Amino acid sequence: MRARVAIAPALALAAVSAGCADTIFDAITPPPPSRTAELDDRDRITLSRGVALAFECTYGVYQPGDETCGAATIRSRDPSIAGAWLGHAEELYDAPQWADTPSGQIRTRFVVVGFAAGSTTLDVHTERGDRQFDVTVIDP
Amino acid sequence: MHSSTLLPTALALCAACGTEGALRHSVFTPDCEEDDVACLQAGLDAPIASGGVQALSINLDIPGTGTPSFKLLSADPSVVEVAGNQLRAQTPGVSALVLLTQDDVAVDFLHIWVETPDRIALQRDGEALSGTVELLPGDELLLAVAPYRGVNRLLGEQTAEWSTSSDAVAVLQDGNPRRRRLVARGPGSATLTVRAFERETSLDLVVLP
Repeated sequence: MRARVAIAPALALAAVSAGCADTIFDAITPPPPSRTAELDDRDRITLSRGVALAFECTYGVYQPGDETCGAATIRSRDPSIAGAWLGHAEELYDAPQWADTPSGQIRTRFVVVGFAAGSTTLDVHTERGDRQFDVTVIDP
Repeated sequence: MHSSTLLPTALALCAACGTEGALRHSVFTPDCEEDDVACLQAGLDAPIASGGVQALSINLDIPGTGTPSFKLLSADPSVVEVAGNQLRAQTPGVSALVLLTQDDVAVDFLHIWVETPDRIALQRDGEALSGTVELLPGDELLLAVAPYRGVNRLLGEQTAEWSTSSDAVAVLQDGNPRRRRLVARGPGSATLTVRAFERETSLDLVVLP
């Protein structure tokens, strides 16, 4: 236990200085058959019109997904093209012992829906920083 | 009589008839007639017929909390419109239904399909009827109309037009737009014709002396 306490800050410092600490956004729901709902690693979301996608933000100092991103907001710059909301997640985050985030924190989830063909941007703010997502809605 | 015997079975099979939302926080269940066994069993695992209306029940499943007040949003109203607890299927396609709290937190969502029916069928207690039905004077027959696309039974209801070719059989309102009660009045034959979802079907009826 003492060894872990002593080692963790050193590992964190090493990880941060190596540029490993990062917020990670992953899709957590699949698209319906023959439709598109994708979030790629360049912060681009592609949706078929009428389709919804849920995605989650995690933060990893030691490994991806260690921690939740905490409280968040999301805003669509053009709600007529894509709607975006915080997603409810009642699951309690089972953080590893070395994580900064205490166990029991709510996951950070979002839901985006393609309303009309076109492009817009989602502005996401979390306790781990701000991100922008380019959203493209395509006709099915 | 058939309804009373089929209903417990249908309800027993209905234990899994709801469809879980993508985030697994809710269960969407079509409001089915008690005699509509196919609807009871399938849940929302079928497209809704374009032009049809499907009533819906939504149960939230969030541990430790009751159900908050929520609203339902269609991602593509050209495919399916939401009116109260009813889904009104418009044109073929797919649309997400997003379940939002009053302060706009997305609790869950579900994708709904709409298809154009290519036929309708007459059903008694959920079983399709075809050919000729023989009756005795005074016999009653409770029939419903159901939309299909290929082998798929579609969800949704629509007010149907019912007519018979003779007075041997009376067609009576049943209080439910998708059903009629047929009563054999006297010996003779009749062809029952039903039109709904821009499709037509018929059934030959013979009332024996």
